[in-house]
Amino acid sequence: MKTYVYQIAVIVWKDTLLEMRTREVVISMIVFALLSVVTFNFAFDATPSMANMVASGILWVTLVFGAILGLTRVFALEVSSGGIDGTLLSPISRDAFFFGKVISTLIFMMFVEAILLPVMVVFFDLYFQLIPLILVSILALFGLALVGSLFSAMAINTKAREVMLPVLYLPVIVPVLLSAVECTEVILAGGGLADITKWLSMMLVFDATYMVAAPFCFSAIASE
Amino acid sequence: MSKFSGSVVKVKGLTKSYGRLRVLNSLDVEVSRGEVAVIYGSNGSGKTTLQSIISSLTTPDAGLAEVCGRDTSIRSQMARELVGFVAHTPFLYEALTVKENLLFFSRLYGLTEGPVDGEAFERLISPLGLDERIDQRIDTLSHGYRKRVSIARALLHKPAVLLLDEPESGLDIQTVEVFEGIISDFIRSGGAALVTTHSRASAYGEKVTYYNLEQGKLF
Repeated sequence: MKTYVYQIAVIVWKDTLLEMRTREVVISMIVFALLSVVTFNFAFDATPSMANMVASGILWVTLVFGAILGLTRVFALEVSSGGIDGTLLSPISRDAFFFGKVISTLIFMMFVEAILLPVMVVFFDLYFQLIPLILVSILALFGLALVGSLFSAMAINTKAREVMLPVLYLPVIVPVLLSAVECTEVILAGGGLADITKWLSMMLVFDATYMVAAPFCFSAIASE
Repeated sequence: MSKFSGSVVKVKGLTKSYGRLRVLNSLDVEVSRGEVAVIYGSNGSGKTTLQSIISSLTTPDAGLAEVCGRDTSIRSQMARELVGFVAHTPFLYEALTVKENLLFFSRLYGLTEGPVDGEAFERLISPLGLDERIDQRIDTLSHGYRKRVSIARALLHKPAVLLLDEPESGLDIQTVEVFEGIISDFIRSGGAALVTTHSRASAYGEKVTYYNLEQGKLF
C-alpha cells in the first residue's frame, strides 16, 4: 500500500513539474474560463436574485468546457515524447499510474476554480459558505477528473481526439454535472450541507462507481 | 541483477496479429545470462512487436513470453522489474532535464536511496558522457545524447535483460562505440541482451547468436 501511494505521488510530482515547464494544460483552462465568465457577465447583466440562479450553471459549464481543453493535453504530453512507454515499462501498476494522472488533473482543475471563483464573486456579487462549496467542488471535480482522464487516454490514439473527447465525455458526466449545479445553487442561495445531502450522495455514488470502473478500463487500454 | 539460473528470456509459440496480418507466427527463442541474441529482418517483420511483448508493453494473442521465469502477460509487473528497453524513441519526458527524468524513473523502480547523487549513478552516467549535460532538458539534446539518456534509463535498475531496438540507427561512430562498450560490459557482468537490427554486423562480444525473422518465424 505504501509503495502504491508512493508511485501515485511520483506521477503527480512529474506531472506538476511538466506543467510548470510547459504550461499547456492550466493556462488554456484559465484563459477559457475567465473569458467565459466575463462574457456571461455582460450577456446576463444579472440582478442579485438572478445572479444566484445563473452563477452555479455558469461556474460548472465554464469549468467543464475548460477541463475538456486541458484534458486533451493531459495524455498528449505523455505520448508526444514517448514518456508514457517509459512509465509503462517500469514496475508501476497501471491503476497507480491512472490515479496519479487523475490526481494531477484534479489539482489543475482545483487551481483553475480557485482563480475563477473570486472573479465570479466580484462579477456576480455572490455570498456563500465556503466549506460546503469546497466539499462539493472536490467531489465534483474528482468525478470529472476520473472520467476525463480515462476518456483522454482512450481518445489519444484516435485521429480526431479533439472531437472524440467531448463526444465521449459530456454524456457520461451529466449526473455529476447536474449534482454540482444543484448543490452550488443551494449553497449560493444560503443553504448548507444539510440541504444538499441528496445531490452529494449522487456525486459520491458516481465517484465510487468510476473509481472502480475507470482504472480497470485504463489497464485494458494501456496493455494495447 | 537477477540470480536466476535458467534462460533469462524464454519465448515459446508466440503469436501476434494486427487485424488479419499475422506478425509473429508461433515463434520460439531463448536467451541465457551472458548471451546476446541478434534478430535481423526487414521492416515490418515483427522485430519491434517481439520486444514489445517481452517488455509487457503489448500482450500476445497466443504463446508464452517469460523473463527469468515470470510470464510477461500474467506477472507483468514482476517481469517489468527485470527488463531494460532502448527503443527508437527515447521514452523520456522532453520538458524535463536529464537528471529529472532519471530521478523520476529511478523512483518508479523503487530506487529511493540517493539514486541520482550516489556513486552508482556516477558510474552509470560517466561512461555515457552525460556528466556535463545532467541539467539540460531532453528537448535541447541531440539524437545521440537522447539515446545515451535512454540507455541510462534502461540500465538504472540493473535489469536482467536489455532489449535494444535498432540501437545504432542515426548514431555517429563515436556514440556507437560508447554504446557497444556499455552493452559488452553489461553482458560480461552476467546480463542478457536481445537486439533487433537490419544488418548482422555488431560488436557485442563472443556469445552472439544470429536469427533471421521472416514471416513471423526465426531462422
